[in-house]
Amino acid sequence: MDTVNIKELNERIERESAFVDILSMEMGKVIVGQKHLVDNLLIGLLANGHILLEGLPGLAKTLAINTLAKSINAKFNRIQFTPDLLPADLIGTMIYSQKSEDFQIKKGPVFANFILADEINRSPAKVQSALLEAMQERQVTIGDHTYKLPEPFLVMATQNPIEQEGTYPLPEAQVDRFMLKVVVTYPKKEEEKLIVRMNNSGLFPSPKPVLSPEDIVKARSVVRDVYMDEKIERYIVDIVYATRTPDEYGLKSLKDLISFGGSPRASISLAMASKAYAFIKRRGYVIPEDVRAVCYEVLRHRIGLTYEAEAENITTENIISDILNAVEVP
Amino acid sequence: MNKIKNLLLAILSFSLCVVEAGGQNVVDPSITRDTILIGDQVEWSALFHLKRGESVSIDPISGYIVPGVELIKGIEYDTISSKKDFLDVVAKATVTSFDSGSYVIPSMYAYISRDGEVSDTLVIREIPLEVTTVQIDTATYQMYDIRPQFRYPVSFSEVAPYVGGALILAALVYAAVLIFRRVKARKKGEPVVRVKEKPWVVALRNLDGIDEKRLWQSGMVKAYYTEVADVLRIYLEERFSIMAMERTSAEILSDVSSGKVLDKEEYERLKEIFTTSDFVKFAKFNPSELQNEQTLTSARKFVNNTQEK
Repeated sequence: MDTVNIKELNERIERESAFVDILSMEMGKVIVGQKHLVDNLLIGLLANGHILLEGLPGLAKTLAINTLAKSINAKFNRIQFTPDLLPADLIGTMIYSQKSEDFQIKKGPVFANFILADEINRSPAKVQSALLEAMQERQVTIGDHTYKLPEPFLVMATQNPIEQEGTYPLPEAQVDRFMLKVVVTYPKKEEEKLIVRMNNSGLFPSPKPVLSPEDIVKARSVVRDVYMDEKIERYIVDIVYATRTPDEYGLKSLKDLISFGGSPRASISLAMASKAYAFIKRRGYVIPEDVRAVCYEVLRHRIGLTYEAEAENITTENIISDILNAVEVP
Repeated sequence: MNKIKNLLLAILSFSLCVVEAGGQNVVDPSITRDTILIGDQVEWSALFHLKRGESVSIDPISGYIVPGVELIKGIEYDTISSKKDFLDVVAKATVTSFDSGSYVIPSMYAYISRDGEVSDTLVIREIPLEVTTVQIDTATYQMYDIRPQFRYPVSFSEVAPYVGGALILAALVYAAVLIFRRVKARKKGEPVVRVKEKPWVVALRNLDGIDEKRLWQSGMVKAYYTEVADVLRIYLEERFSIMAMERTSAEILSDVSSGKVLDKEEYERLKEIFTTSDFVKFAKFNPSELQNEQTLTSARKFVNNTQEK
């Protein structure tokens, strides 16, 4: 790729990424605050990844993804995960039709562009696996037939961080399939005041479709073209390696706090998310700031903590901060 | 009269023991004592009167001569006198016995040789040996326990090497302690002064080094901007105690801006260098030759203007 191409790419991306501002503006009409959540939804959407959401109830998680779906005129389904949910309830099943004297396919709620898997850890492992397989393969097999899931396909799964009783925590291998883990926090005072005012007035703005799902698919190919220099690649690998062998990066104190580090999927996700972030920032190339901006979301669920770390109330965020402060920026 | 008598007796006995080799075939041996206590040693000997040029040898014997009589020292030959054409050679052996009784040291053959050939064979007569034991008075005999091993008192000569070694070791340790104290005292008295170079001195030298490498002139534009940016980041770390190597350009600029460590002109200069460097490093931006030259000039100016006055 020569200089001319970079210039061209930069111009192209500036042009193609113009919808990001329109989309953000449209979502901002409905969702007050939660800019971080909205940004990460867009990153997940553009980087073709799925999002694991952690946050208390009532923080506009459902509203955010619903608004996003409406803004891009896509199909949205919300699935409440319960202990008695079965894989067939999720992906669909074959029903015998007396009229046609034949089995007919009944597609499940997973056949949508946007899925909100609410409280995913309330269902047993077989249901979780069914969803995670669909997320990975982007296709579902019912009976003898395999059906492709619609594009774009984004799963946003939520986990309740407080209640642990009667839950089935996602195993590390399945958590790793989520590109981002976003922690949703409370809105700011001013934002909450606005939320109250909007609800009291009874005026709930409805988002208008400003994009089509095809636009997102097209944008994804542009995101893949965002230029990532070898220096940035090395920086990404250094960060992920530091989660595995922190002592090699002068972080001996972290060695006993990390039970396992990020997988190669973490490096891939970090690279893809960085590209998407650069795209959102309307840049045709990735800079270290992009990597650092998405680092917490990409790595926080991929680092295993030891009992020692848990006893000392050390979080994965603390570890990521230490790593970012130790790994040399190119 | 007595003297003469003794002399005659001696001559007579000598003539009986010593046989002329050519004249008789029998030699009478002698032993120092014919009765010994168990374990006592006795010397057996036989005298040969030989002509000059002759030699004598007895059949070699070893170990037990007869059961009960043991040879301690084998036969040795010694010339005891030499007169004109004759030699007196005595053959000696030491024997003992560890068992009481009457024994006979048996007869042996002696061979007289001349010019390597045996010229005569003589017979050495047997001789009796009485071995007695210690008599035990059974009337007054009293049995004692086996005595333990006798311990000799330690003599000074035995202890001396150890005492000497310990003294030498103590002296060496003492000397080492003294030397260590002196060195330590000397160090304390004369502290080593380490002069740390000022960060701007290092930065300017490194910038000169980059210039000398002629990186951008040889097409290594990316390496050139990376090195310039790195020199400035190290300088900022040292000069303003800002963590720069692990921060992005935007973060560094934010730090220097919030800390108000730079005036606006220098902030803009730094921002310009970092922005161009980032473009080159991450976006394959190819600056003009003028920009390349100006970047280094600008970096030098930044260091010069922000150094400690």
